Amino acid sequence: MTQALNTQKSDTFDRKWSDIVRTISSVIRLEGVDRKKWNDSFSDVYALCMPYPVSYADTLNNYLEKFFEQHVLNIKYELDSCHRIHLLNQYSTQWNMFNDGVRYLNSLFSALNSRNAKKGMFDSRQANRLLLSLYGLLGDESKLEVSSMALKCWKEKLIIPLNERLTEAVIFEMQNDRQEVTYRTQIHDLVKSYIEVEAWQVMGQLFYYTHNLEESLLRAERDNYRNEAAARISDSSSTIGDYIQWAHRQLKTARDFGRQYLHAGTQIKLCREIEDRLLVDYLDRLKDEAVHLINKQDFEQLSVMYRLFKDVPEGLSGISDHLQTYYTEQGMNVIHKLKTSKNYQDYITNFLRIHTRYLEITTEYFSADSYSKEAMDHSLEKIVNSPEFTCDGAKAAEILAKQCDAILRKGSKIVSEAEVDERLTQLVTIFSYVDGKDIFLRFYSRNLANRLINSTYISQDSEENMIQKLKACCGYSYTNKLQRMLQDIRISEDLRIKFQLKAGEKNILKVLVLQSGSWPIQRRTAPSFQLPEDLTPLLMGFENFYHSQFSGRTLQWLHYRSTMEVSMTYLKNVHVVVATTYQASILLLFNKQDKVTLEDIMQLYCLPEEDVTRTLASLVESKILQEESQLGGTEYLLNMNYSNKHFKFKIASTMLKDTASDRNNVHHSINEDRKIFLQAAIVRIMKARKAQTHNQLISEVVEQSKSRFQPNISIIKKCIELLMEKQYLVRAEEDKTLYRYCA
Amino acid sequence: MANNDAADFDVKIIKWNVVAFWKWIASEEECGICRFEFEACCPDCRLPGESCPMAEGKCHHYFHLHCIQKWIKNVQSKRKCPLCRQDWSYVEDSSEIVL
Repeated sequence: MTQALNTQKSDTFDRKWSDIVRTISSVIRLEGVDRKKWNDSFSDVYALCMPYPVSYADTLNNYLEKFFEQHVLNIKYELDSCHRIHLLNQYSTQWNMFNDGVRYLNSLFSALNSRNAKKGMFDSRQANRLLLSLYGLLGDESKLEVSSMALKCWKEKLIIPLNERLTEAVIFEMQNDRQEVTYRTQIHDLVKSYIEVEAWQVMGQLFYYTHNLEESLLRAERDNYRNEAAARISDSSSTIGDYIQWAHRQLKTARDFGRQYLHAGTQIKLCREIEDRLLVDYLDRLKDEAVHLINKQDFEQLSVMYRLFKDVPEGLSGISDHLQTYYTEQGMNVIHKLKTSKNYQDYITNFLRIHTRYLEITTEYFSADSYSKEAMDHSLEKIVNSPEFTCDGAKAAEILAKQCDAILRKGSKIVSEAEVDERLTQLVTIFSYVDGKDIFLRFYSRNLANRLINSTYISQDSEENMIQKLKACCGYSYTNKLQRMLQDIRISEDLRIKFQLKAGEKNILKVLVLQSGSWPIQRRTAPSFQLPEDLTPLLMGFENFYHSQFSGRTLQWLHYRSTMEVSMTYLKNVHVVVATTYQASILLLFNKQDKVTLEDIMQLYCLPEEDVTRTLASLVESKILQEESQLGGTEYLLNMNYSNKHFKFKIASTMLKDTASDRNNVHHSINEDRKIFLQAAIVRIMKARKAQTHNQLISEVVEQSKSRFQPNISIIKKCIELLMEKQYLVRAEEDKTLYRYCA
Repeated sequence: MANNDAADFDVKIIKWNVVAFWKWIASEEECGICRFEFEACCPDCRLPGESCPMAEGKCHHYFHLHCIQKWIKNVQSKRKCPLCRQDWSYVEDSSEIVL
């Protein structure tokens, strides 16, 4: 090869090269070159690279390569004779100098670089070369940039032969004193040199680095930490708590050190390695300690542990289970103490207190991460749905609905809008943990209906607000009936204003027109009920008005839900009483006669005996009427001495008093509703899937109903059987666990 | 009871709050096509009420508007009432009531 070169080169080249060599020898040692010398060499390089008369670019390239080789070899000999203690220091000095020098040279040889690049561009195989270079397979024919050429040379002639010694030196330094590594910058330089000598490759894979320096480093650290952890954990003079603190510090130091002085990829691998050795190897023992800490309520310490385990796979799962158990137990203790209380608010307040406390722990100590949140949510669910969470026979759903009513009904002590909102938000927070959301809805909608019909709601805005909260929690279909109830009230209000204009000032009638599907009111009414004569025209008037507003619709009066305000002028002090239409109708009779009998009323108003008895009883009970037993039966008279400390009052109706049987009714009808809901879900699923195995079907049904209630598996099975009877489904003949949908 | 004068009311109504459901006026309870009540909605709607009204034909048969529209669109129906096979046309006077 030398001979071939000899024949090619001419005197011009020799002369120019000897000048250039002088310059680059100074530059690579960073010795300083005066401007003239630099400029001369620069133009020499330029001249040699010019294609006319003869291009010496290739020769120049080869000579340069040789120059680097010689230079690097010299450094290597120097390092070879260097004692281990000084090796790192020496290496880093040499590398920094070389690296800087090469950068200068790269600009000195920019003419050569651009020529090489141009040549590459016209090479038809360029795409191929790029691909090859990606895999590091490119042969000698390629022309590297001057700086890359130098770095490659450094890797091959220096790093590879010295690798073992260098690695050993780094590991020795790192372990020498973990806290106080003296040669940090040197280590950094070394790692950087390993990386830079490979980084110029198009997709620098750092193949050599990862398989040599990095691997040895990790191996050394692994052994080191394994030994240290073993010693610490078996040391009887320190507690597990101390160990945790120590591990926490170790990881932090390693992370900081790695971030500053090592390659990013190495830092991650190193931390993972340390986690494995310090934590994963002792996972069971550490988890035992976690349980201990939970029971001791030492959340401070637990928090350290929790953060440590966050990045460890499977690390948190066990701990969060225990956390959940602890939460549940604590909460159940609180609820258990309320056993004798008959006050709904006690349960609400205490649950909120538990919730706040857990939320505090979760955010403060566990930075609200998903595992700890889950533990909290599951335990709160358990608490609120436990049989112990029952006040005076009412379960959580009913308690909540009643409390909502207490807040939203006129006469609640809460005045400010903001406080109403806050209290409702609290209730919704509890509600989100409750299983029987359908039960809540049942009670809630009934209370809402009462508030709306009797105009006892504090404001439409608050009602709307609450519905929005429920909607955010359970979705549109959950609240849509509630929404429509409110809408009916708004429409009725408009209607009332229009009717008032038409009917004039003296109008006493106010009608609520409701959509039958949305209200939790039975359409039950005594169809035969004959209104008191003077009242009939009033309703007729409204009916006509309504027909003029909405065509094709008729009205069905629900007198048993209607109320009247009646003034009783016969008393010494005039009173106004709010009564149901039935009650008021009976009172109106006394305008014409002094006493009435049950039969009179039944005949006159065409009411069934049951209704009349109940209405009379309520009037007697409130002392407005007096009974007098006569031969022919009981007669009823007005109590002329009636007095009440309120000017306006309501007659308690006996109808809604029996809460226990009422609750049974609700639960019964809810069970019926759930069956229908489940059947619908089954049909929906089967219609979409055509065929489904038993287990798949069950789990999908559970999934669909979860937002409303936790379905009982045996009930689902019953529903499936029922649907098979109705021939919606059949069992597949070949596989007994498979159901098919019958279209 | 001292007061026997019928004109002088002892008990007087000041206010009357009445509650009512509205219904579609129809001689039948349920739609002749889908067999759901008019107070419920047709199978394609999710909510009953104004959005799913009732329609009456000149033959005095009642359907959900959506049900009968779907039937009329079907070519096989030949635009006849599904119950009596007379040519289907809507009763128009319902619009007169609005005015």
